[in-house]
Amino acid sequence: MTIRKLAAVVLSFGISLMLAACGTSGSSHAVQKTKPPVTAAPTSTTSTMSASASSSTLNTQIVSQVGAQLGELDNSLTTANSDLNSPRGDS
Amino acid sequence: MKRTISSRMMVGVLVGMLAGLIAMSPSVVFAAPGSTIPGSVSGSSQPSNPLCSTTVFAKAQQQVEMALSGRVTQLNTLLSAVNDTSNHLTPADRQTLQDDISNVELPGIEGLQPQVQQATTCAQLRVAAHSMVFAYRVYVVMTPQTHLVIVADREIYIEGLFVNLESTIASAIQNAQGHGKNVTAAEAAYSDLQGQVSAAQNATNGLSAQVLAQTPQGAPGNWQVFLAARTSITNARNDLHTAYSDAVQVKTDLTR
Repeated sequence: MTIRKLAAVVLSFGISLMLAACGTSGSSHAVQKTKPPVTAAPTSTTSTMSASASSSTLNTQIVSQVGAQLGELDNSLTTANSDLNSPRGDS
Repeated sequence: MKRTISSRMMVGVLVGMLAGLIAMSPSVVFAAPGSTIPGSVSGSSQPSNPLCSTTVFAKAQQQVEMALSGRVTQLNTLLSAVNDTSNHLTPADRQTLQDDISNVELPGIEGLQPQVQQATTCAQLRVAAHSMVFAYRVYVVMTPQTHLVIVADREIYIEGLFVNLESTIASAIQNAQGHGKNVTAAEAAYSDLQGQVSAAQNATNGLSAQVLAQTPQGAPGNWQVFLAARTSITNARNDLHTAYSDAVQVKTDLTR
């Protein structure tokens, strides 16, 4: 009986050791496995946030860019108008 | 304007440049009335008019040299404008203009400079002046052509910016609507923006190619092409400015 108990204890210790070992290696895998979702989640959040943030930023940037380009356009048009309104020389 | 330009051209540049000399001495007639058109071959091949005295010839020669020098300066200015990458010329149009200016116009005008310096007769001077005007048309073809294409291509670039902006605006309106915002005014402004951009695209469609197809030999007839192109780019400019106001309106409506 005692031997049985001892055997059972040894067996259960061995099993728990194995489980612990597996658990350790498993946990390292688990960490690795959980890492991507953990990193993926912020990445995903970041990309969502940057998308929405860049939407408003992009909006402002492009509108400003268009405004600046329209100013340059007016300057170019003034030059072209000058050529046609008062051509320099006859040729 | 057409009549003015045409009539000016009919008079001929060389005679025009000598106007001051003629005014100083009315008896000094550089060429007979029949040969005053620089384009006439007979006029330029005729022997120098006996009234083109040595003194007058030197002044005329100086005038033509100045006219050539002015054209070289103008062509270099045009080339700088073409080479400026901030003007958003399309690569093909930039290349065409660079080729025209660098490989045809500048070498042509610069090639006339030694001819004029070495000219010893009024007839030789007339040949060079004729070529300077009729073969190169620096002021009435090359100049408006370059500037009109720069404007047209810049408008096409801005149209592209608006097209990119359209999807952003549509998303922003949809987003605001999803959050219970009243987007009626923004939608109306957006719709107008799309119409304005479309109108600008129609106005500039094929315009640069049409302007670039004009040659010195097409003057003065191609002046009308340039005037029509000016009308188109002005219309497109107005459309784009209205589209910009619409974009600002949408932005204001959505951020209220």
